[in-house]
Amino acid sequence: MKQQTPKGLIALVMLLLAGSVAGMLWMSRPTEPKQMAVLSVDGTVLQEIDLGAVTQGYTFLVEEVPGETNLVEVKPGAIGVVEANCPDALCVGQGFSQGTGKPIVCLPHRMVIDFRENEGTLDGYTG
Amino acid sequence: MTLWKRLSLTVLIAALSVGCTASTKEYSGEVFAMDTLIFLAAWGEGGKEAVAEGEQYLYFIEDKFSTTRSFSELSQLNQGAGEWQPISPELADVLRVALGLSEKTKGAFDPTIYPILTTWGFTKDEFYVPTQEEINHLLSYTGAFRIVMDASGENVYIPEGFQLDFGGIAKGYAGDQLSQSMRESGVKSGLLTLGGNVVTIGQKVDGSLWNIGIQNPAGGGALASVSIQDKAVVTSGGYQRYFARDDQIYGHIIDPATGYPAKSGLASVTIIADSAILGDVLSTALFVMGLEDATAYWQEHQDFEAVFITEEGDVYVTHGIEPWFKLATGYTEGVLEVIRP
Repeated sequence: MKQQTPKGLIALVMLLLAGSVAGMLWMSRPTEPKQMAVLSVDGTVLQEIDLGAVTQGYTFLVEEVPGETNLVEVKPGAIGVVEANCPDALCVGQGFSQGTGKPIVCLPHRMVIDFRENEGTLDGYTG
Repeated sequence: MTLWKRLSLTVLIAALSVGCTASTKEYSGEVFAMDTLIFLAAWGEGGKEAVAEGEQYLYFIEDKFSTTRSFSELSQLNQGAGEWQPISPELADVLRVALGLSEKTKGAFDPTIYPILTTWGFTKDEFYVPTQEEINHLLSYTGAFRIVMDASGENVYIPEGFQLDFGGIAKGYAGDQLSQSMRESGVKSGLLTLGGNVVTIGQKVDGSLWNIGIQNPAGGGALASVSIQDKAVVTSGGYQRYFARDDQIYGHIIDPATGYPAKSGLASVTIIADSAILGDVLSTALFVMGLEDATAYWQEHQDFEAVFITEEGDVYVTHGIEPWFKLATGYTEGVLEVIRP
């Protein structure tokens, strides 16, 4: 005797499959590229800033370790360290970054501004 | 096939897919060592332990090779110049490669230029332009051919007044050692970034190649990218550290022949090679050589690939990397040429 497939079950599976396909399409939809800057000190993330969403510039002071300061300026689409009391101030010398490329690093203060690109997508950076 | 069987197969494939993704977890670490920021990332089985061991290894290597820490093995060795001294296997490994490549590049790479680098102020960012007399005097204390290792490789003689510096080779060595250790831990996919040194292990977890950006020496992000697997990519450029004095720009890469910052017409050199130590050394040496001699060197050896960016913004890529090289969209500052064998 031939086995019968319950019609309700077929409908449910088809519905789940259709839902999965719709979900995949939603996940892979084109999105606006973000320019995420992630500021951390000694590995601890302090701020995540979408530089593309910044409309008005501002500055803020990073002083996780008392006495070790980096003044960070955020502008629409860019971020940089504008003042630092570290011995070499190489972080200031790195200028502003548009949210791509190699991180801005203050080695003496262990402060890093790294960038996450969600489009285009470089896995690493040399230079 | 009945509908039931088809459905069962679908469910089985879905279950297997979930099983596969379970082994693609990323483990990462960040270390401040060797005068730079180092990122380690490993995916899948063995990754967690490999990253943790890698972090400890970097501190171990820094304690051996640092020139700024007076207690490091290299500092102690420099302080004992003028006498035969025993060295560790790690230091012997690096020194052997450094001396070999110094000879191979006809001195364009020289691990003994530390006294000159220090006088220019690049080691402490206290910049100074030495006189020609001072340079001439300092040049008499340089020359890798004057360093002697005994047959066992366990002892070395550094002439009095000489100082070794592994700034142009230690990160490459560490990258190679780390990637080998991670492979032995079972890591099939990994990415290491040691300053300008990028080392890749296998492919990405999705099976695609690693896409590594090359900094535009003029600033503003990546000028190009290369797609690679199981390779190291290393860049040297005068723009990485420099100072300006009296309308002159002085870069940190010293030409061992003159004692002055190299002015070869190149803004940066990127080497793509199987080993990071080779890439680290050659990126510096070929920068010093300039485009013409660097081209001849590649044509003679061909055990690496290279991307040369001139001060005018022109880009030259060696034949072997061309299919995997991509200029950034919209880059129009210079021409792109392929260097053929």
